[in-house]
Amino acid sequence: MPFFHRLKIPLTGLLIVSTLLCEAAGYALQSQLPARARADGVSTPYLSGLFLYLRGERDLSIPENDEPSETPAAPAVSEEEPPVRGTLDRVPTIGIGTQPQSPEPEPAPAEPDVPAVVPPAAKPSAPSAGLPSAAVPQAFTTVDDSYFDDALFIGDSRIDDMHSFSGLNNATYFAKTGMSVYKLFKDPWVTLEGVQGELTLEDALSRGTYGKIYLMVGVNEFGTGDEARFIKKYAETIDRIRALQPDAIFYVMGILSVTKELADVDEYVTLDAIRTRNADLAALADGETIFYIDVNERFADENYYLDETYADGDSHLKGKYYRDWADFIRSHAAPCP
Amino acid sequence: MSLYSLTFLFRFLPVFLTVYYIAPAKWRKYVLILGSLLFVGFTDRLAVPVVVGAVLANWALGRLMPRAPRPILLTGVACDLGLLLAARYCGLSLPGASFFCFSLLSYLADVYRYAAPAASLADLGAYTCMFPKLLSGPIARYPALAEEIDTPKCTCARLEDGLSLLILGLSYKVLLADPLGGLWSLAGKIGYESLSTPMAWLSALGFSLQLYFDFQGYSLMAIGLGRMLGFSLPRNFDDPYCARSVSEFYRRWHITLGAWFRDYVYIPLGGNRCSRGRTLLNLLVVWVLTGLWHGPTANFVLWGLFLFLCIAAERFWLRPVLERHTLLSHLYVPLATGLSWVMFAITDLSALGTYYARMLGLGGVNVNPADWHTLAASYLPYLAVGIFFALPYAGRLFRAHRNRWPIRIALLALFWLTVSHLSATAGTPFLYSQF
Repeated sequence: MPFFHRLKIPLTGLLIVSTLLCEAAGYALQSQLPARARADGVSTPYLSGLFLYLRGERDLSIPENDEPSETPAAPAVSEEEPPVRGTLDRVPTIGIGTQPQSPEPEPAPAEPDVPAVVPPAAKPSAPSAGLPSAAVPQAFTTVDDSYFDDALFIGDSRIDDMHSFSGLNNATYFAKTGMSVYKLFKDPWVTLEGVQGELTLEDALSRGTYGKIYLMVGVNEFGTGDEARFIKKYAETIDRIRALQPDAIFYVMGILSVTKELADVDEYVTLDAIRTRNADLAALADGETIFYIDVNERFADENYYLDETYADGDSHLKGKYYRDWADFIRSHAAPCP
Repeated sequence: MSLYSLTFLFRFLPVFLTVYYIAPAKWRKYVLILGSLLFVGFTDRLAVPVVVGAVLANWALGRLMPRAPRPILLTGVACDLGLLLAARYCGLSLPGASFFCFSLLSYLADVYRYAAPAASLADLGAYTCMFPKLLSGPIARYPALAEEIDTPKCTCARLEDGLSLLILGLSYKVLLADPLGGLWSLAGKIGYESLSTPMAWLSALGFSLQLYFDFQGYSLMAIGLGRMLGFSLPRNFDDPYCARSVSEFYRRWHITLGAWFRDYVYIPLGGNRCSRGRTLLNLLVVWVLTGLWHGPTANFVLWGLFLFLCIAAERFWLRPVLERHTLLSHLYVPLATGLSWVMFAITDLSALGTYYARMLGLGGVNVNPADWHTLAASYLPYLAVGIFFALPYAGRLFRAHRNRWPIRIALLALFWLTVSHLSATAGTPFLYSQF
């Protein structure tokens, strides 16, 4: 680098040039990033966008950033039979930030919410009117740990924490920090014991048989796309998983709320947004083979914020409370048919 | 605004440096003052009048000092300590209060002691407010900086040198300290009562290293920035983990704070030129005050007391033993300081007791004996890298070859790696920014 060698400030010179290049590249990539990750160019330099892009951040409301529309090896079941729930046809019109409403169930009129069985050790829960709940009746029973011998938990960092701290060690866990409904079937990310490298979720699901599948994703998607797109994708994901594991009972897990400290300042992860999302997730339950459970019954305060007593950071639990989480899961099992 | 934020690195700093270098040499002092006040404003708008008021008050006191040295000094000490206490406990807006107030106190004490001419308002403003050292030191002394404040030595070599230190410091903070911080957080998440004994020791090691790289990183950034602006800020760390006694460790760790307490508290009290009993008392006062400087809670006092006991024991008994046995001394220092850092980290005394119990293998609840190599597995490489960089070899390598192209390329790569990390996270606050 003779030019820089003649300069008396070679390191400074290289840094200036590389900064200008990164800034230009970051500016060009802004439109590819989700809204929450875009820079304003004043307080946040555009070059941050370049690094976010290199780390895989994408605006998922742009179709080409989502998985391909032709689903590879699409299971025959979803083409021949109508979906078990009507929700694929019923795209919720609720947007983020609006008042949460339970979507009207078709075809039956709305039935009174049946609150889930609250374990005796749980703290008094919030008034049931404040908690998103399934539109169909759900009756739960309490099980012991052998129930989880063929259970699979899929999700984001909260499921990863559950794996580490809950004591439910006989279940299988496919969990990764940052996991979102858009990434579940996209790239390889699942590690299986005895298998080298990472597998796609489809591949991993094809290698085992599970009697119960729990799914918890949804908080990492705030600020990308919109609620309708999220629920549509979530419903498609349930279909895909059930096509690969047709005998499994499916548990949709409501996303864990966040602390007031975060919810009151974050632009995207607000209390309304969480309530709305969980209400939409609750609507996916059919009370027969798909159930909705919400750990916020145990860990949220009367306003649905994550109770600071249990919180580690803003959106996770302290390690020891995952044992209480496991207790909640044990007491919210679908009765055996 | 913090020194490791993208806003500072890519917006404030380039604009400031451009104006600073374009300005005629005689104006640079004023550019520095204005820039530093803007920096204060971006950090906390309400702090600007506090800073301006404090500088004005101390400037006036410095000017009035020859007329009535002792009363003026006592007034100044009361004001500056009052300012520190108000910032700490009454919510007064003053970022970097501990460092800012200690700089002002040292200025007044130096004017008093040497009967030297007091600074002009601009010089004092530049000395106390200069943004590289404003938030977390080093605590520089006014006489050492006075000449450079008047005529900053801006050269290409200093710019390059300063930039390389800035990048090194940033890397220590973002690529080592922050990830290591995750290990201590993990320990908290597991719950101290549930840690396995190896995990308790590894987490303590992780915290020790995190604290070192966090603060060493910040200090290097401050010194590097100072050098880019033409100032020679004092060194704050000198390979402390090479020390062979705790006394020596604290001559190598946060050097400017230790020197401040030595020159303005220990020596005026008599230092070690008194009876054994009085020397011990002087040491005790210094270490209790040092503990309190870090925080008002009992754990910091306990930390200070523990170090006092180590240093007193060394002074009157242990030193010959440590001098004769090199390996023992090199094991003793990380052990003693590591145990002391746990006191530094845990404010609740019963939780502290629980942690120490787990280090001894006592009183575990729901302990997962494999936690240190399953949950903490990803941190083990960082611990190894941290230990390597805590030894003097990396520093010697850097100093010997800093002007060679391989080091320059490595620094450039490190810089963009840290920027990549900063882009992805909001950034973890400097541990010493709470002081």
